Amino acid sequence: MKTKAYLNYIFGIICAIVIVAGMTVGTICHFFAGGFFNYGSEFSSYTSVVVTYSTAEYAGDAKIEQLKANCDEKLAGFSCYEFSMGEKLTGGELVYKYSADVDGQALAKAVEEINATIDPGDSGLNYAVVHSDSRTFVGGSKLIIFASVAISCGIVFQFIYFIFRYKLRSALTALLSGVVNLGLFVSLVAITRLPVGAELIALSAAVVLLTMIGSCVFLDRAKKNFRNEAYAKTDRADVVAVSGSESRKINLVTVLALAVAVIVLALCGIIAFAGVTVLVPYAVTILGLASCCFGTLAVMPAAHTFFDGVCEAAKNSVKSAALNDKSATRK
Amino acid sequence: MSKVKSAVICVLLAIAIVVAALFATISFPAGEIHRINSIAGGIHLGADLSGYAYATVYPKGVISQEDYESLSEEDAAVYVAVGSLYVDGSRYDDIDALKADVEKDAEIISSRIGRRGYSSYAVSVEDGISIKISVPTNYTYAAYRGIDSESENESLSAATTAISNLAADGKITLRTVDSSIELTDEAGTATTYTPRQDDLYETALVDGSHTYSIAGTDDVSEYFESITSTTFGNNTAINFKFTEEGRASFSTVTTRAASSESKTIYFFVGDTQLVSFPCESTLDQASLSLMADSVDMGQNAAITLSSVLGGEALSVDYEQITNVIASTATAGDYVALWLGVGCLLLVVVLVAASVIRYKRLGIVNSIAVIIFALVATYALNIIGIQTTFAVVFCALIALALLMVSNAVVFTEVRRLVATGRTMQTCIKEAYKNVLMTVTDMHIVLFVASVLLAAVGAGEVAACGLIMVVGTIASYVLYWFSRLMWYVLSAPVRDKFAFAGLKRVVYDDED
Repeated sequence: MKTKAYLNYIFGIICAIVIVAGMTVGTICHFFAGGFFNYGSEFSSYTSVVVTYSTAEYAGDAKIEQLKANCDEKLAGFSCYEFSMGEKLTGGELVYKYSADVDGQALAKAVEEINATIDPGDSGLNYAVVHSDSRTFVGGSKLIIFASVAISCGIVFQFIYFIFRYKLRSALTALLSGVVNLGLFVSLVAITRLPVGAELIALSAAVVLLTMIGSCVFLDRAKKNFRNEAYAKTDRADVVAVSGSESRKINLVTVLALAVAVIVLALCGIIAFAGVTVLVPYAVTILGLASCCFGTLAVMPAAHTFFDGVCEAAKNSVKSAALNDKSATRK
Repeated sequence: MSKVKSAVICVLLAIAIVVAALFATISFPAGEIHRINSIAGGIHLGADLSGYAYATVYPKGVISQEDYESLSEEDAAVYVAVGSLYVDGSRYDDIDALKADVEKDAEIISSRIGRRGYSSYAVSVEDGISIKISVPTNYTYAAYRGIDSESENESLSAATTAISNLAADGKITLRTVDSSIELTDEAGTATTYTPRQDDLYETALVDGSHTYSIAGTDDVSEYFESITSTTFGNNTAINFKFTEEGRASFSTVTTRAASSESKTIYFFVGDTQLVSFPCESTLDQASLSLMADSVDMGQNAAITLSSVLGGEALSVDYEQITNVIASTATAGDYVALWLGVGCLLLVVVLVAASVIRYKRLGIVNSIAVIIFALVATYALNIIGIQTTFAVVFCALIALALLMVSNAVVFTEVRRLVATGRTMQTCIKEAYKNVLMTVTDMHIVLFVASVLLAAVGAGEVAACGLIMVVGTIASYVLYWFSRLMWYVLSAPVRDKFAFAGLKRVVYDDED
């Protein structure tokens, strides 16, 4: 296989552009649009309508469904991004969440209409209220710090392990791949503005773990090919390219199989909810897999070619310097 | 291996898998009331699959519309409407100052809950003056579906305690239920010590009894240098490290407690009791480790005590939380069920794909897949990992690791078969050739997963934990596949056909 060196540059440039674009979009949004990422409902400001009911009037699923249908009808003009039902011993709650900039007066009017119909016995136990001026605190900074430390430790361990098992150049490739794939993932999430929640941190860790599998497969292949006498006279960049193509099938199939698995789970999610709003975590996961796919299949061989070239050049210069020293001593 | 031996091993394995699968998926009635839940039914679900347990905390003097409606006209007159809530105007003359204090307290509560390591949680300020705290219900699947009320009540009770303890407001006090204590000094002189009746006398209760400050007027925060917790298995120890002065003062407190009738010191933050310390004798040591009644209780107490010790006491007095509301999952009632169905479907697809790709050798791969799925299910239940979508995805990555390992070795066998060697030689050689590749993958993944589980918190730690289990299972099953290849192919005459391969015969063999 003849190396198409320009491809390595193209992959590297695409990768750099995506990461820089992601970081730029994220940074701009951090200052002007409320956050580096588009934080999901659990992190955002909101207005909510809470309909409280008592089991004295609303006992059984049928009556609660009837109450919900009544409230849905009154609130139909507003775009609710999250709905949940809560239960307690004496009754329950229907919680409708809206973005903070919803028309508060119109919403209050709709709630008045609900209040006029949901408490036939005038017990005062069934009522609806609007909670405005509400915002959620992103208190999970420690979670992010701990996760970052854990992910970094994992990547550093892989680096050290690979130095002993596969030489420094492979360790550098693995290190760069982990960082690049994570960077790609974070950038894609920032660019696409998909609403993300706490699962983003866990999925970032998953991206790094998946990259580790891919780098093991590729670097092992490269190591074996460099030792293979059949490639003794082949250009080193070509050997890396051959290794890339040999490991491509396994790495590609792995990522594709995981993507299919995520799509199957997403379809099941749609069936469960009869809607598409639940698809965000699945979409974020697909972005993670896409980052892994591009990073592992395209960027990793390119990076290895680069590091291998640099290390070989350094090795050769050290060797020639040593030879020069020897010959100088002899003279 | 003889055909009989091979058949016996296969039958035993099939029985073991079927039994394990039955226990994993089917619940059994045990008597008229009790039932034994399936392993899958006992898996704890994260908030994305089972919803949140939430409570709204109101500052004292702030009431909801429901409470406001029940007031007499005269009582209601002092209240001012703020959003959908009502504020006692005689208690708070500056609503904006109250809002600022509540916001600051919400940040402190959020930070405390963040340290608790939940897979997800939310702390919101509503109407500017009430704090809504949401933590995962931690229901098992059976509890979520309403078929295990015992587990449901346990989970809700744990959530109520967690919210109540982590939102505790006020200072740290050491309390006793004894109103007077008879002390005898070394010379044998008896004196009576009267614990102080402070401003928490009416509200800080233990089982309905009033409590008194056993540390007099001391600022108890100055006793401690740090308060941490250590969890091992199902136990949590709360570790108190004393300051030099604190050590002497706590020694005096323990002397009083040891002489009291109850012989117990209660650690309170405001009017919330967090820990009780049975004290039989005077204690004079630099640190103290208390075993908590439960992991949850120990961690809640340590976090709240440490937060107050670090100067993060809440500045507003809040009403006690008595019960919490359990919400449904926002992704729908049946999302956990359908996630399970999806996983089952994936196993079926993987089994079918293995058989199509590798012919009868695919059965070996399929057995490994099924055992992996069972191991993951049992591990989620036994270790009590809170299952979220990310955890399921990590389990899939671990399964992918097993598939990649098997694919690497199968590919190597295929390559060696093309060189014209016998099947046994090819298998032996292939496993030898890829040994370090597969081992490297597992070592790297294992250590990285251990780091995620140990250093990470919440969902990340859960993902790390399932990856640790998955990586070990993958490596064991990789070698198990080797064994099953040998066992299943033993009765087959054409070993090449078993693996869907054809023997390559070179001319020089003739």
